[in-house]
Amino acid sequence: MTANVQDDWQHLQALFELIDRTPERARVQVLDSACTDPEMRARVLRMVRGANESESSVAHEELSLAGSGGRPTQFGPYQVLGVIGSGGVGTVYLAERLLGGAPQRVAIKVLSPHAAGRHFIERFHREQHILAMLDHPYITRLRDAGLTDNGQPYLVMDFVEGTQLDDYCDRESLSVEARVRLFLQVCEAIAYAHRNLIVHLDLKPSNILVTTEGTVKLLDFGTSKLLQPDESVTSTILATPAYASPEQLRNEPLTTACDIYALGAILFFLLTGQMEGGRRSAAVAIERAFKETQPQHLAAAQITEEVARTRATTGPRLQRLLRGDIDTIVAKCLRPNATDRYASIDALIQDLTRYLEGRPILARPQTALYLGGMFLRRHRFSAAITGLLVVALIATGVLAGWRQHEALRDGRRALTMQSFMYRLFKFANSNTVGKPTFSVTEFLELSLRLLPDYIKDPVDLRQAQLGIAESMYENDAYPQARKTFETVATSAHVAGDIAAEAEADAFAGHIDYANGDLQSGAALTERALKLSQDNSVPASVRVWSEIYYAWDRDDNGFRTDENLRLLKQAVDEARRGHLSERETADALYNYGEDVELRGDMKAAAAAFNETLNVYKDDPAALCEQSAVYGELGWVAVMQDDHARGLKLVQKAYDGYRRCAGPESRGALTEVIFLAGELVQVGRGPEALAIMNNALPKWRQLNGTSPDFSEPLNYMAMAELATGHAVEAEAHAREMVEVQTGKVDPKDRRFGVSHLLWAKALVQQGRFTEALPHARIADELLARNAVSPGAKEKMAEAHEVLLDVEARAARSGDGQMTAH
Amino acid sequence: MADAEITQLLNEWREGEPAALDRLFEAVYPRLREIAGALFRNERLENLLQPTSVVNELFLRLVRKRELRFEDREHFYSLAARIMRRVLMDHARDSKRLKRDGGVRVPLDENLVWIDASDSALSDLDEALLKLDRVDPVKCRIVELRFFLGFTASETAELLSTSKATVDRELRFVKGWLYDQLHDPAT
Repeated sequence: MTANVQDDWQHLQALFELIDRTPERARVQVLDSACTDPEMRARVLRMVRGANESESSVAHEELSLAGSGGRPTQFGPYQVLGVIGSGGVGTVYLAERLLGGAPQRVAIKVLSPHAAGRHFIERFHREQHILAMLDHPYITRLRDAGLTDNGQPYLVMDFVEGTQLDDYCDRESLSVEARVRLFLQVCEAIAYAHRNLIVHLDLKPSNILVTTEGTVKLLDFGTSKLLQPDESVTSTILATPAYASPEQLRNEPLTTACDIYALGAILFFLLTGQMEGGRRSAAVAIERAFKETQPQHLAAAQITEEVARTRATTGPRLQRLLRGDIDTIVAKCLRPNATDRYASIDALIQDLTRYLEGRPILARPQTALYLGGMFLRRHRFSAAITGLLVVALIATGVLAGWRQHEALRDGRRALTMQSFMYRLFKFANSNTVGKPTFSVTEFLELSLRLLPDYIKDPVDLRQAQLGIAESMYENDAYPQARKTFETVATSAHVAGDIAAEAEADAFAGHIDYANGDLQSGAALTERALKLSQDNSVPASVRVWSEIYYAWDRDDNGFRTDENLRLLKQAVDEARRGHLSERETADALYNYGEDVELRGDMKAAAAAFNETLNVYKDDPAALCEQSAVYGELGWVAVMQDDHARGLKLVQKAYDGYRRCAGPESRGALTEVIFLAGELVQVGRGPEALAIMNNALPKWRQLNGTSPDFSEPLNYMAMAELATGHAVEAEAHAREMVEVQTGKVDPKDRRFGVSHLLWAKALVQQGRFTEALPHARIADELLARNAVSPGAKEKMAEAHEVLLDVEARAARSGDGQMTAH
Repeated sequence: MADAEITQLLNEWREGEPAALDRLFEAVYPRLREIAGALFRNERLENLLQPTSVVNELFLRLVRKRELRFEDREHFYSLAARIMRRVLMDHARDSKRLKRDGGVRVPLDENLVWIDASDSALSDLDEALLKLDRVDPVKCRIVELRFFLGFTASETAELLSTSKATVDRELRFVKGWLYDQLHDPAT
């Protein structure tokens, strides 16, 4: 093309556009001043005229093309009034018939004569069959069907006078909320069809009309299919690609999820005025279907002022409206994988209704959990750790919400938590912290560091910190948990946040007890109990404060009726305050432990069995369940049923291994009881083997706490049972060492230690040396011997003392030779 | 012909090799007809024979079989539009042949209804479009996509990486120009 021709062409277009914009009466004048060539001027005028004429003539001739075969005038009793529309092979006529004097308008769908053929007729019958099954106020009704004089089938439908869904919404300037309400009608119609095993497969705004009364009418079931059980339906048809699900475009089996996808695409369009993912063309839709592109966010659509105006709001406000739950709902419909979408339209309807009512929706943004799953997969955590992680999620997010009884703030909190968890998992998955995070405790510590960026409200922040600290405690990370509880307690004290302070003190005190710091434990739990009586403290915090105060005191030897009363009160309060079943069961468990300690085995068994009813149904409560089995095992032992005791303890140990891992505190605790039972039934070597394995782990976990005397106790027992008296003597001595200064010198536990010491010496024939130990044991174990276990020990200590006294007197020098 | 050649031919066509178009036509047209026939026999009545449906289906099939890349879509659809135009013109020249083949009709877009759809008018239209292609190939492609393939203005704009406003503006000009070409005996 020469430069000259190109110039002329551009000039022509410029002139055309100038004149096209100019009002008709001024055109000649403007043209004269813009162009000197008379031929060019005439041409431009002709073109502008032609461009206008071509538009006005379209409307006229449109129908004539459709009805090229000569328009019929009558279908059975129906008189044809005109043509509504026409496609390649079919035509829809407007017709009426006189019924009892009142004209009844109908739409008649008929095949074009050239489209006659077996397949078409079959297909026509299929639509007729499907439509006949559908009787719903939001679906156009099939009234009649028949054959024309020359054998062409036709369908008679209700004639719907209405406006296309999207046009209606824009014309009425419907708000986001009103659009969702109208859209719910469409959902209901489709839900109805699905219940009849019919999938629509070509849902789009042009198939949905809204009547002047504002009622939705679904028009076209021509593409719909009847789902047969156990038969996967595929389709070679190309539904409108902009609304078609990826599996439709990929020619994969079709399900009701296709319609859910189309509904999501329609809702996206109704809300933003744009197609999701910019999929105006088939090529883009196909590309997205094959690449499994995740859905675009509603708020990412470009909102023009016009779009905002037709939604009765402003651009920025519409942007805000389209964030959050409604975005989650639409995205869940538009997931590329059918299984990630709503399982049914009813679930979609439920969430849309909840959204309209301002209640939390059930679909949650994928990100946090998805990334959480990634994190877990990457690190191949055991099921136990997964459970703990879920505990962490729940503790930080959900429990924080429950505990403050601020349901209204839940939505906002959930959002914050979501973005927080997102970043947390992102960090955990990256090398940002120097190396990929690999332990749950590290993960929790990281979450503690990130929290303040996300939760600005100090009250909320403390709740979340408490949740994490409790997860650390559950995860046996006592030092980290203790430190966090202390931080929270300090900050809560300064701010006058009594509930948080009570909760933090209760847990911190409980940890101090476990670490053997009895004085601090007693002081903190006492403080928590006092604070928890304040009215602002939620029932759950009060219950835990009562439990830790009373149980830790009883367990550490300050046994009083007041403590038992408090534990009973905690159970009642949990029931009265409608705490969750789990929390009520937890309170009951502690009560059971306490009555067990006091020797009421029947009451203990009753309480434990009741908790088991709750824990059994909760897969996340496997650890609690195992603890109960352990306690029931102990009850059996106390009732002298060692076979049953062994079985239950074994069950408890196995459960803990699964729920928390073989090196968890729970599993290690059950191991020592298991060893005890094995000794009882005469399987000493096995007991020795498992204790040899467990003791170093215990020593690592809390080797300086007086609680360490417990595993030492069972170790020594196993050693005595297998003739390792020297080792037993050393372990008995260590028991006394870890207790000294921490346990009341008059405490029975000293008695247990000295009894073992005495027995170890007796086994070595060192009777004179054994004598003082046997005396201490006899004295201490006679105190407070209420429970059967304690009574048994008391009897044993007395027997040992008598034996030692006799032997020491008989052979005063025997010990020297044994040295 | 080997399917991989479609991509190769599209490249040649884009680079201005005139013979490539004929060979593409030979490669693609039978498949379009096959699809049209299959859809026609089995499926939906309305919309079914819209050229877009048929072309989309072919695009899908080629992509599914990895014979075509998504990236080639602009050229593929441009080619398909060109083919549809040729089909229509063939129809005008030899309506008997199409009837014998089963009566598959490609409806003229409503925007072109103003052109009297007689054989001679269509052949004049073809002449005018040939001329347009020489002077301004982009406009010619817009017309083909819009009128012969049934693309909406938005789809056309997206495929050609331009705005809907531009497509509307260009089309208005082309309509005027075509009207002038077809109605003024002097030109």
